[in-house]
Amino acid sequence: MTGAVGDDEQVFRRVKRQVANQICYKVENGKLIFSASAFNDPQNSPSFDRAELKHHRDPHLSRECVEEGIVSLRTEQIRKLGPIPKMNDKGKPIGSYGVDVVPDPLLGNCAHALVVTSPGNPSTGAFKKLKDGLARLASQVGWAVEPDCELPARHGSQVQDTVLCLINRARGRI
Amino acid sequence: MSATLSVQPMWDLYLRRSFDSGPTSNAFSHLVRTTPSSQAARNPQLTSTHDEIDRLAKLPVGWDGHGSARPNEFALERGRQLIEDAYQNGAEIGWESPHVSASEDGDVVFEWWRGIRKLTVYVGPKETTYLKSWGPNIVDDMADGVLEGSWEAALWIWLLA
Repeated sequence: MTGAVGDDEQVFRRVKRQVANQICYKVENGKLIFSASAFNDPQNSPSFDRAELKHHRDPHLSRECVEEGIVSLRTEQIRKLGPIPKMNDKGKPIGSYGVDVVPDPLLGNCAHALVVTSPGNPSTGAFKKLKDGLARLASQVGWAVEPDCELPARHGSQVQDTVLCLINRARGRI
Repeated sequence: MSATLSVQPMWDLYLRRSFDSGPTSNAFSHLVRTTPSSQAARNPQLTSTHDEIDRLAKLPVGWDGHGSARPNEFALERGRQLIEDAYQNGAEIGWESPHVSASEDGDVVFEWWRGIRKLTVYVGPKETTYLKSWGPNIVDDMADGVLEGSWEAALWIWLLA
């Protein structure tokens, strides 16, 4: 299971109040509600950061700007969104897509991970359901870090990330 | 020959000419949908929703920084019409403005929440689909389908039930 993301791992999703000119969440009667658009992804595989691979599991380290908030979801919850029924053109079930969280380390962000379906390339309908499920999970847990709060100084975070990346590669976690 | 022409009915002349010089397209031009001029009539109650759709229309390609498609112009137009039809259907039993956004594929997306129930409508250039959900479990708590007409009153009744 080298490189697998554990069921008990938390993963961080960056959510801006607004992407371009559209709002990704709203607060109604004091309750935070995420739109499915908070999980839009042209590749149908929304990206997250693995908390354990961020220094001290600090969600602030996943933020790129002040406008971004962080939602923290448990990997097991995401996987349990599946299976997603796979339908043919006539709407008859012909199997299912599993939902998984897989490592996708990037240069400068070794914690990067993706929520994917198995098999890949989910139908549009299946991905819409996945987004809806993710938005519901996010609405249940709320913010780990609210948008617009101060962005802590992150001196040397690039170096920290590289070191963490090397350590976790050696441990077979990515 | 000339006698034949003289008794030729008017409609025959009209049809013949249509192959050559295309009067048919002029005669029926008022029936042809052209995108810029075919905007749905805007109910004043829906001004904010139409404004949000107008904002979507201004999004460029890759508006999210990840390569998402710009909202499709036909989807935008169909979205405007859908919201008018939904309002006509739903206003009597209670209307709530939707959350309006664009999908990564260029669809217009309307979302309504009511307690645990959520109705999401994806309006594409040719097809409109809906997703009803009442929990995060995709098998047990969600149902989807294609809208056959421009709106289905049953969706609104389900949301408000």
